[in-house]
Amino acid sequence: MRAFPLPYDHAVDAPRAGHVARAWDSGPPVETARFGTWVFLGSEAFFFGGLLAAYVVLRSASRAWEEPLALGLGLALTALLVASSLAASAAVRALRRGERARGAQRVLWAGLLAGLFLGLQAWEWCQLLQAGFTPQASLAGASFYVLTGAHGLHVLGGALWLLGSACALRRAGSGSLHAELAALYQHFVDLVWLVLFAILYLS
Amino acid sequence: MTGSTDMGSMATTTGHAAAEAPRETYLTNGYGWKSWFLTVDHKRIAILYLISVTFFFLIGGLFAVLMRLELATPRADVVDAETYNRLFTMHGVVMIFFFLVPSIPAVLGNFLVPIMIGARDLAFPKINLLSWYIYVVGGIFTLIVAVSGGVDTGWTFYTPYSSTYSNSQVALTAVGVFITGFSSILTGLNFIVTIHKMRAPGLTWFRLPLFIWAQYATALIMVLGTPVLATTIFLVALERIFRIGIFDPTIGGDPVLFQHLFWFYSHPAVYIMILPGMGVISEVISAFSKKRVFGYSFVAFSSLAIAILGFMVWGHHMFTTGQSVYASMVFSVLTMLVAVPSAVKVFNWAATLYKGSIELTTPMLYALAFMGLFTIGGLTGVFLGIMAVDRHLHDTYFVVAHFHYVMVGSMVMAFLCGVHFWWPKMFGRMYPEFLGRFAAIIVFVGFNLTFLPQFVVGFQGMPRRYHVYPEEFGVMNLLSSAGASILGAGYILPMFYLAWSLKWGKKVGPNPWEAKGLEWQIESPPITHNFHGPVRVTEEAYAYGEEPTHGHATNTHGQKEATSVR
Repeated sequence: MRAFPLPYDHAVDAPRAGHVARAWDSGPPVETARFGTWVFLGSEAFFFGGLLAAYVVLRSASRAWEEPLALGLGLALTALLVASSLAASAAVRALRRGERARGAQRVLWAGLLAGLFLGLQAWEWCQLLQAGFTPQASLAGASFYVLTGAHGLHVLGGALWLLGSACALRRAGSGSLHAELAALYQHFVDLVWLVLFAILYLS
Repeated sequence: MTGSTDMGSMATTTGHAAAEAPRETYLTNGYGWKSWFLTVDHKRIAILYLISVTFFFLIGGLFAVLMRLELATPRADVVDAETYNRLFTMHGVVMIFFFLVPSIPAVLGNFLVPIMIGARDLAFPKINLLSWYIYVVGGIFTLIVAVSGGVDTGWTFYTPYSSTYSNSQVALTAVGVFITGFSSILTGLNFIVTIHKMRAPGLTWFRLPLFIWAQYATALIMVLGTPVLATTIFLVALERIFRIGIFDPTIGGDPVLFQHLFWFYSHPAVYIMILPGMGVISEVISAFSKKRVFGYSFVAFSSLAIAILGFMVWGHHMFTTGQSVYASMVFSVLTMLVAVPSAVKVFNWAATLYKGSIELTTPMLYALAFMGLFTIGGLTGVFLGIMAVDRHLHDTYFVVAHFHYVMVGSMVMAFLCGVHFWWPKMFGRMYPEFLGRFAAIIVFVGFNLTFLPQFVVGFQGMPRRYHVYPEEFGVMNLLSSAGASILGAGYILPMFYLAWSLKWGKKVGPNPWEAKGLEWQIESPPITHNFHGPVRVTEEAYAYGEEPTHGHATNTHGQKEATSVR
């Protein structure tokens, strides 16, 4: 038998690789928050997975599938979202170097570009609705508005998160963790858009 | 199985606790409404959940009472067909989304996960509180539905009836279920992160209590399955509000697509409901046999296996929809495969009992009932997973009896089992043991009298969801209704004596059951931060000693006791 009791030895026990023995100090540690965001992205992936699976089933079973979408507009939308994602990752690099002001500026840009994406998409919706491509008119229409609408709501969430963390970065001494998580989320939303772009505009 | 758990300064404090005057616990740390409704303490949130799920259990039970009253005779003498449709739908919606899914994870899981892994709280305490508020908002929507006429689609919301034809509150119910889903996702996320990142030093994965493994597997399903339900419900709501026709065959939509999406969540959701219960049973069987759970790692991995296989069997709900027969065959085989990890659990519990020193306390009675009833519920599930048999039994009372054996006979038993087992830990007072055992026996008898006859009428061909039926099913239905009234009494009884024990129950020390596990080494009720300092774990789970104790403590056993007290 070993000798008891074994005292809690902070030097030995706390900083083990992949094992945070905190919870006794306050505030969420970076690793926990980042890991939580990844788990949340897993959940989001299944949300879009369900929608995409439904789209594939409907489309493969359907004989007529008309999507009057302009490829140029789709490319512009993609460019905006990719630019937003690049700005977000540039911001994270700046923040990790400790350049808070520059980081905040880039986070702001990432948020604004995502906002611009939403504006352009709203304009596209208006054009399409006026041209008679309504969600009620055909299954293609229903799928298009459901997919882009659900995705658009997520972009809105990402943009608000980015803008919020830009504000936080300007004010207090914290906020860089928020910016990093928002950037991660923005990359995910961007990735989903690339899939949507491929199936809606390219096929 | 060597070693002991050192609780640092805590152990000494525990020793003094009995002598000192009123001790600060999580229950006495603030009394105002703010201290409860704005709390981020996982234990207080667990109590909030306990009250709310009990409330919804009563609401759901009320619908069941009305149904059984109606079904006592073959004629329609209490409600008409319309009302009956709404009754069974509301019963299903309330019981599944507002009682069964959150019951064990959100009440016992919330209370115990941080304590069992030696942490002060969950990884995201504020998100934990948020998940309760989301649950409440979803619940309010459902109550509004209940008082404004209800919904009549069945809890499964099958399209195109739900999306096009039903004249009841489908959209409002959909919103309520959609919202509640987020509560479930957030709880799952919190558990996964907590179990990964907050375990005390020395608490490796294979030292975790099996309850934690079960919660982890459940959390995986919650996080990955629930969003697909969100997708599905979202589409039904859109279809109802904007008439978009994704599930409407008249414009090329596919109503069977709805069933695929729905069951992709709702079959795994069955495991959300049963897995945490299995975790409770592992703890209780071990504690009252005073033995380590037989084949620990098999039981641990069987939880994960159930979670993973559970995602691949949804098609067995759809054998009669005309889905591809080859797909049906695959689903059928996979369904039978789920029985393997489930059986591993039951056999290992039985092996744990072997030569254990068994105490037939109230929680143990519930646990033994669980083992028997889950075996029946699980095996009849295999019957239904066989395509040819399902042709005959689909949508009959056989199905109803099957899933009530799993959901009520197993899950509600496990919930009551866990609540009794950890009641002294939660409130520092013991419930009256005699009444507890009495109620457990009443519940067992009432349950079987209610649902065993339903296997018979189902096999004879009585379809589910009808309020009138031919005379020849009368006797069995009358038995079932009689059983339901006994079952109801069995459920009401614990509510009274548990409430009574809050004030008048006998005070207990840290470990009234002499069980192993971190939660039994801290005070009852625990302090707000659970432990008095960081915890370090140096022993395996269920370290009850190498030999079963037959009344006489061996020398090594005696020494062990001494070390753990120190």
